Amino acid sequence: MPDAVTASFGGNQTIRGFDFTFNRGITPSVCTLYCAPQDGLDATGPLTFALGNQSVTFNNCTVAGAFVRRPYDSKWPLWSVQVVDRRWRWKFSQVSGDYNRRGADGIIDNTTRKTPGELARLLLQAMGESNINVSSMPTNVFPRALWNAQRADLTLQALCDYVACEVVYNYQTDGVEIWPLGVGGSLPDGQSKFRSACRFAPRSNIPSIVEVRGGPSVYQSKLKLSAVARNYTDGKQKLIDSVEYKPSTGWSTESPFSFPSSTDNTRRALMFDQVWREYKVVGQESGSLTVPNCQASIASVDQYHLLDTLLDYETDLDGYKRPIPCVIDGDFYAYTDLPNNTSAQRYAGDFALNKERRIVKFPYPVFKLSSSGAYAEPTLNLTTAYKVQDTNREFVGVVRTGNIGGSGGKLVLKRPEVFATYSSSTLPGAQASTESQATTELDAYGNLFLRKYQDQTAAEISHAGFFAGLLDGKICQITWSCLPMIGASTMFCINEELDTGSVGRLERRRREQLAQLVEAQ
Amino acid sequence: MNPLDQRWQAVRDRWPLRVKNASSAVIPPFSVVLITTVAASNNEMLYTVRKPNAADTDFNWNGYLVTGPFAIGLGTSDEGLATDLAQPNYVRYDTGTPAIKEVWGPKHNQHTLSKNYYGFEILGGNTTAAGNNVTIARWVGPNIVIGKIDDSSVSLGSTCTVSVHVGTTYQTDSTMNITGVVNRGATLTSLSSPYCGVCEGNGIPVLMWVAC
Repeated sequence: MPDAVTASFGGNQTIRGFDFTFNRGITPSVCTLYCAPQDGLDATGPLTFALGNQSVTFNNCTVAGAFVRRPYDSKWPLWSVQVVDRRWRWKFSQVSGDYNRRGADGIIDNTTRKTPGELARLLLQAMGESNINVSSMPTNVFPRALWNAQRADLTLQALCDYVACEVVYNYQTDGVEIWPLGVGGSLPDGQSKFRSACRFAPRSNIPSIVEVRGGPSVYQSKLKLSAVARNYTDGKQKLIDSVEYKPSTGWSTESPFSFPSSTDNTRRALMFDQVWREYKVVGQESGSLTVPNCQASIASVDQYHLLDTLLDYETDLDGYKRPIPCVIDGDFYAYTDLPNNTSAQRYAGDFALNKERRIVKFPYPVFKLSSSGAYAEPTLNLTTAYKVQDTNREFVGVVRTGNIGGSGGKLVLKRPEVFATYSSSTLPGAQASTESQATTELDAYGNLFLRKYQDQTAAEISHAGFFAGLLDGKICQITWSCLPMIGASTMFCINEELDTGSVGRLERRRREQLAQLVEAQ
Repeated sequence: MNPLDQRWQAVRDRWPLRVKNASSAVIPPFSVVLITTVAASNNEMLYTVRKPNAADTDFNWNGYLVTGPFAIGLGTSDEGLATDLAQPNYVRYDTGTPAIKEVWGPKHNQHTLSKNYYGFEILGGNTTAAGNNVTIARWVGPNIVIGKIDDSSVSLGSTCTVSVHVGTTYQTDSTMNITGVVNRGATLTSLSSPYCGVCEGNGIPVLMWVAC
């Protein structure tokens, strides 16, 4: 006499069959139990099904829903009870944190540095887990983590997606493991299989190239400033020697303390506001537009996107890296008692940088004095960090590619927190370039995804009976079922979830991301 | 307030007066200038100044300013900053080496101080600025001016003209005169350019002594 299938959950004695598709991820998998309708079902506990000496148990399962269905034969009604594994608790978790904060130079502040494994452990702990294995996660990439009282499970899933890993619930150890995608076992073979595995290449899901795009590179150099002023009649910005209210005798004798050449009060007010006070970035210190260490062609200063800080940083009293403001230097009259100019000296006064206008504005006139004490345009340079657009208006950044093969097209991964910096004007001790660090990290991201796609085949295999199999970075789905006319079976899927009877991974992620959006509101 | 903001304010404090160049020549930095008029311009006091020139035969008791570190330009409308030197400041000098406690003063037809003229006490700090010799001085004003009476007689209660003399022994005629010097002593007759001392009280000069 063949062994009988047994299934139990919450003391229900009338289970006639079940269908359980076990998936990776943070969304609990659903076991649908078919049983006689009853009243008062409220259970949280183990779900067990067995056939002979083959047994599978999931602890701390609970009821997600129950529906009465009328069978086609119009005989006994059937109750479909949806039981979810213990991951149902995860959605009630919350986490906050601030890790992998990068300085202006693109280098991670060591005080905040966490590997993906360390981040995942923090998240899993926030989710109430203690049996955690994150040892297979990458250690050479550092995703930004700025968590503000948000759901830990959604955050964990996003982290895993970012580093090509997957959350795996191990029901045998009752622990949680994080597996890199592309790493894991193979389909179980053996006498009990219904037939051999049918392998196929799901080409529509496989790219041929992985392209990892870092954030815009940040450059720092001395930028030349030229005195400008706004026309009174048409509002156009002009170099100071071309502005319409330039005195007939030039600016050399026009006192910036009274602007006596104009008798019109409104015009004179504009002169007080503009003359020797507004300086526009017009290019590099050398006069060229070409950005040092940048291959992009530059046709206009509009392609410079100024920041108002330097790549250089300070380490504050608490040990954190903090950006420091941009600086100006040059040859100018520093309001000394004697009418002498500075020589390549740092400007020590206040100024405001309007990044959009690419204008530096001083709170008082800044000029140079000629040898006879007349007013003249000073030599001023702004040292600041900035990003660069190429002539197609694409920000210049580090891009790394890896080849998978085939003809699937390009998978673009954006990693904006990883960027290179280049400086031709740094403070002592600062790095002139961080391109190699950025390249190394972007390559590491690329390799994670190349590994994900190195095995390009998907397959399923079904066995008679209940196999107590586990999920990993390759085996992505196990379906246990015991249905009338079919009997007990176990189906394993590798690399693709092929059980069309359950909610697929993409749909689960869509729902999770929707939950994340709702939560963010 | 950071250092340059402080400096900006210091310049405005040191040279607070708005002056207009009434000459047809550039006034170099730290020049001695003569006030010609003062009037409101854009609701601010505007001093019109010029270089003391050869035609200025009248001795000025306190009508001088000293310009700031900026040249004041070529046109007659060009403006700049100046101070009355109540606080010590830089001022140009002509020849010699000013030394502390010496008194130097304005001279006809030049923007610079000359030694043993009246008005400015030297504090030192000689240097050059914009190609000119400058020293640090402050306005002390003349308490008493030494000169010679030009008239041959001066009645009691009438006035006379005094030629201001300068130099280490006051033997050099500065070519500046003090007119309307009141005689409140005895009537003086048969004068032959005697030395005298003149001071000013309420704007009216008066003979203090006469070496007869």
